[in-house]
Order: sequence, then C-alpha cells, then structure tokens
Amino acid sequence: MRGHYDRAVLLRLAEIVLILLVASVPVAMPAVLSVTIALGALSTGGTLLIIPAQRQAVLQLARDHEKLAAPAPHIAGGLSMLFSRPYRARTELVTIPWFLMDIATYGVGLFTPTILGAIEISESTHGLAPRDFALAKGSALIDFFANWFHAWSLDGSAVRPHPNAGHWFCRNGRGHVAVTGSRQPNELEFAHSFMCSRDSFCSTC
Amino acid sequence: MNAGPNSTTFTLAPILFPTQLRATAGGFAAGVAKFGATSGVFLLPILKEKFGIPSVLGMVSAVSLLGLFVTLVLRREDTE
Repeated sequence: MRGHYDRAVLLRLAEIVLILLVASVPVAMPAVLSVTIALGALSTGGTLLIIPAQRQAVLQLARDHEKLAAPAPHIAGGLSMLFSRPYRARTELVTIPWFLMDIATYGVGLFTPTILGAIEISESTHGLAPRDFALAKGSALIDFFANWFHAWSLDGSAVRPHPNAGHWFCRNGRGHVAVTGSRQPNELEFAHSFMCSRDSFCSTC
Repeated sequence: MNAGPNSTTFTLAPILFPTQLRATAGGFAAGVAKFGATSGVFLLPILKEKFGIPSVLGMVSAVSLLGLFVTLVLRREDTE
C-alpha cells in the first residue's frame, strides 16, 4: 500500500505546483510584460517599422536636427512641481482615484478566497486543506479572467491612438508591441508601450 | 475593475504631464496608490472581524464609487 500512498502524495504535489503556476500567471504577467516591452523597444530602436502613411512625417521630424538637438528645458524640483499651480489638479486626478481604487483592488484580491468561502462555493469539499485548495483554485480562476479583461481594455481603449499622435506599430521577435509616439513634434519618445494582444492592431506591421 | 479603471491609472500620468514631469508624476501616483493598497489590505481584515464580510464589500464598493466621483469632479481634457 506504500506505493499507492506515494502516488497520492505525488498527485497532490503536482496539484499544488499546478495551482501555484496558474496563480502566478496574473502576478508575473506585468513584470514579464515590462521586461519584454523594454527589450523590444531597445532592440527595435534603430530599425523601427513605420506605417507607410506616416513615414514621411516621421522622417521629416528625424531630419529636423535643430529641434532634436535642442536641450530640453530644465525643470527644477520635480516633486514640488507636481503641486505647483499648473499641475496640481492633474496630480490630484492621477493620484486620488488611483489611491481609492487600490484600496478596493488589493482588498478584493486579498478577500477573494474569503468571499468564495462565504458564498459556500466549495461546500462539497470537506476538511481544511482541501477547502483551502478549492478556494485558491477559485481565486486563481478569477484573477486569470480579471487580467484577461485588463489586457482587453488596454488593447481596446487605452492604446487607441491619440487624435494627433504619431503612432505606429512595430513587431519584434518577442511579440507584438504597440508604441504610441509623443504628441509634441520635437520629442520622439515612446510615451506608452503596450503589449498588443489582438492581431488587428498589428496588421500594419 | 480590470476592464477599465486599473488600466486607466497607468495611462493618465503619461497623457497629462510633460516629458520632464511624466516619470515623477507616474511614480508619485503609483506610490500614493500603494499606500492605499497597503492600508486596505491591513485594515480590511480588522473591519471584517468587526462588521462582517457584507459590510467590507459595501465599504470597498463605496471607496470605488468615491474614486469614480473624484474622477468625474477632477476630469479634464488634455489641452497641452
């Protein structure tokens, strides 16, 4: 019977590994994305693929050495500048809703197993450990779908090109990366870089 | 939450601030937000013990709605 027992232990171990793997997907995804996008931006820095419609405009900007070489005006005291009159309202807008939202986001994240337990989703499982596993599985599933929605909303709304943004999409060996250019003509910078999860965004590559 | 507000928080600072302040603004907002995250995670178990899960969920909803309200009050078009 000892062999049978070992197999049960191995199965349980495999289950733990599987649960941890699934649960780590939403946690690790932002980190993996950041690194991938940074590497992609570095590796494509010299050879950006520009969509034909904007090629002339971008090349013209790149030729304007006078503008490109001009030093950026220096702003002293970054943090205090955030609270200066012109920027105070913007700072409040980016800070306060995010602060309030994170109370709920992280609170709900912490409470997902508790909530699942409270609504008796796992009443068929008995014993403390199986019950914990059922709750962890449920939480992992919810996190997975939540992050899918996250990627979907970035894809659908946030990456939508700014009306006067020079934006282009490029493809590198590590995945599809959408890069929106700056709104001001003398700063060719990568303002936002996002993973492009739907092919429609990358059809211009 | 992940279908909208969470993504928006990442994009607002780059959209609303000039290059020289962009990283400072994004970092400051993220830091303040994590203060909220920490206090939420720290306080919610205590509140749950005191008032029960429905009240905690109600409070979480109220805080989210407050975030919506603040956004509506402070919202602005990017005019720069």
